[in-house]
Amino acid sequence: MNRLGERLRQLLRDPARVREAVRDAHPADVAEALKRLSDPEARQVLEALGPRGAEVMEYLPPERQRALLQEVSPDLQTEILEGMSTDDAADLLGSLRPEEARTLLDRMAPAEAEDVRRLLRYRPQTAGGRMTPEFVAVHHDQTVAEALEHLRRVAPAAETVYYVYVVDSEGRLRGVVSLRDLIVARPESRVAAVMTTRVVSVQAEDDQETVARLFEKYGLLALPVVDRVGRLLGVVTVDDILDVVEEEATEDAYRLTGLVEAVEAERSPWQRALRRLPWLLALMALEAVTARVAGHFEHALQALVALAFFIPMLNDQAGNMGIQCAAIAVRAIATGEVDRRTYRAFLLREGLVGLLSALLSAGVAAAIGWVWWRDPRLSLALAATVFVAMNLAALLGSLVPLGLTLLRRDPAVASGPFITSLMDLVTVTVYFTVAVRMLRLGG
Amino acid sequence: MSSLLDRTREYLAARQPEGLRALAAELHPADLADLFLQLELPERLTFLLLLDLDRAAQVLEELPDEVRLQLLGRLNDEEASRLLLQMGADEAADVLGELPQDRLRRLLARMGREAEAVQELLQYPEDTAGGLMTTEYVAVPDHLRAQDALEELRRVGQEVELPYYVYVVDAERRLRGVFSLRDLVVAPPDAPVREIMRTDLVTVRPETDREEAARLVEKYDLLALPVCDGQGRMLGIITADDLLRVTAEEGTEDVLRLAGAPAALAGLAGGFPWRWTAKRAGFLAFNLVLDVVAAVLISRFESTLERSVALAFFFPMIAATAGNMGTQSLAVAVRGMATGVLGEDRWAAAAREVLTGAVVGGTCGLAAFLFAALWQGSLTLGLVVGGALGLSLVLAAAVGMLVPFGFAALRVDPAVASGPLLTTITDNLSLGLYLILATLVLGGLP
Repeated sequence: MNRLGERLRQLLRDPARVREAVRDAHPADVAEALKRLSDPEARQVLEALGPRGAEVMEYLPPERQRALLQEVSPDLQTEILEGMSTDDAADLLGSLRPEEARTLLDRMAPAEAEDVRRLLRYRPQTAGGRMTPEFVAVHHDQTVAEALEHLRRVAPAAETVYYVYVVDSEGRLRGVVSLRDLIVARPESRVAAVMTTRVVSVQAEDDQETVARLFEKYGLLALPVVDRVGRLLGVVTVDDILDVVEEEATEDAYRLTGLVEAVEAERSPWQRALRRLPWLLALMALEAVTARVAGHFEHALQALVALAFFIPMLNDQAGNMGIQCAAIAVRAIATGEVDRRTYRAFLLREGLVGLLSALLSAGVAAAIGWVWWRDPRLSLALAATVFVAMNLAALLGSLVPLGLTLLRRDPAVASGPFITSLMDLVTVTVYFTVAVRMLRLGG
Repeated sequence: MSSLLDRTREYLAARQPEGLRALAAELHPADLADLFLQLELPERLTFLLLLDLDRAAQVLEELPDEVRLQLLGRLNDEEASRLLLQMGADEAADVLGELPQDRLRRLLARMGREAEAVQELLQYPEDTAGGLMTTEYVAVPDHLRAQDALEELRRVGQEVELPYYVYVVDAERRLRGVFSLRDLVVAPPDAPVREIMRTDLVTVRPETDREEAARLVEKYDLLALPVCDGQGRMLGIITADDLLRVTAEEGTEDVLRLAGAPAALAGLAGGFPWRWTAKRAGFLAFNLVLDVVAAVLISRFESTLERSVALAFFFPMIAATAGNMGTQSLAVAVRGMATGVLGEDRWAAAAREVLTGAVVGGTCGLAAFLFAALWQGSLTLGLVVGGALGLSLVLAAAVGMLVPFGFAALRVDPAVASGPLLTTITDNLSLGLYLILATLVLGGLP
């Protein structure tokens, strides 16, 4: 891959040899090689490739697509956009400034521009935004032979011909038939007789997460998208959904730890630091409150410094419980395990898990206090703090993501660090109250 | 849904197979499995035995591993082997792989000739391409013409799950090319398959990690990925829908691992998940014991603390901020490796993250300095708190990146590199640094 990039760089002046070098390479590999070239260098490669460049563009990350499109000549721009599959072209145009996109659309062939315009109407993270209009549909009155003939005519253009969709005269989705079924069926039978009517479909406005769940649940390769009255609009394919699932897991992992941007790895250290700082500083402000609370117990600490030894341990314990519950809630929401129907059962279970975990850890904490200090009051203080803080943490860890979901916010938004810092405050307060006020340790 | 459940229970109580079968015929196997999971264990057994054999096998394929194992434990060898024969070879191998050795041998013996494919699949670990592949695919000899290939497809098409791609093999079963049904349908009937097939093949070896296989399918937008041995002989295929499940599962695993939770979610259906709870609680209790190290560390600095007890007020702030930075770096590293974004330049990625830590550390350190100095009215204390916090963030960023990289390099299960383990490390590093700095500046220590 690296080598292809190097070769291309040396051949830049000779378009014919560039074409020769990539002739047998998969477009995904050519895209990989382009990633290592500068924008002007990549432009030269794209110019040498001509229409084939469209295929390569599809495999580049969105920002690079945008940069390169602006780099090439107007003619090549149109050629690339027309050559890309309609959904990819729409994604690319949708990321440009509106007036820029309009100029480009006006230069494209009218039929293709119209297809792209139709897709641009849907929000990017919905079924409509992810679908392609390049599918094969046949009428339910057609025979298998007619359907196959139709397929021969349109197949090269259609992105996904593993399923053939069956529609009625109004374009409403009636059923689906796999290519295999068509090939195996008798040519004179009617399509309606060989199709499956139990077809899973989504509406154009449905969220892409819903779409991903359906793909996973039913093991699908493609999913038809319909409008409110059931007319077939397009098809979402499994390769697009694979990206969605991966992006979402990364987003959950990042947000849970307080990171904001999904393409974190591609940014410069300065940008990354700037993005992280507001949250980290806000959380430090919360920790400052915790410090002030501890400050109230300065006398007790002076009398018994050992009280301070256990602060980090107690903080950690509550924080871990909270993050554990938050992560489980976030992924349970993402995978559809928890919804409006099941959230009560979920909370009940997590509460019970929290209670049992708190009991076990409180026992361990008491033992630690006893083995080390031989003071039943310290043991009791540690155990009580662990028990109270962990139960609260379990509750908070589960409730924050669920609450955010109810408010239609991303459940993972910085749940982890926020819960940890809040728990630090709770832990320190409970610990000193129990140890100093109630048990008179250091008093 | 509930009325469906009620109807199912009625049929089960009355032992009415006809009603059950009619009801099952209307549902997709995945939905049938959902319904099935709402039943109690004895009901599940009755249900499974009353269904048509192929329908029952389909349900079994959709069920979670633990449920399948539980069911097979209750079925006799005769019933179990009949069901396993109906299942896809890859699914059957998944189930059988979990069974005790003697039961496995008895069942394989009963399955006869069909057991060969299963046995072949059983030799590959679950997280490899071999463990994920199915042996049900269509391969045609390379000397056929398009119409012969179509004929061949009509013959085998009924049994094979998804002949979207048709593979072309030579006399030694070495993979030569691939074409899609679409290519076949549009090709002239007398064209040799050699002319319509594509030869720029993407393949994997059976021992390849399944995450790597998922990355290839994603990169090349494939529907299926052929698995070949060292000589290029075709062994099976991995389908995109199976990989989608892997990707989702692994995403969940990464997120849960960051939080120190068990690698899988427990379903809400069925009884209370005792073993899962024990894992969660056990992990937390274990971590508590690890945290004693931090307490012991602090106790070593008792004399320093006695001089200035205010040092203790800042423990939570320093430990939490370093912990936050560390888990962020861990998330960048873990997801970066999973999605292949980090590529081969891991050290460069680590260096950039450490630089990020330096910028963040500088700013947060300054904030901590201001807070501590103004509140406590001590410039020295402010410098110690701010300096320690700033330096800890740099250390935390480095540790957050290096721990998962190190585990990957040592081929240790990266599941060990959990968020809580990392915060235990950053706690000790940051507080150790803090107290050493305090001792140097404020004096103390024996």
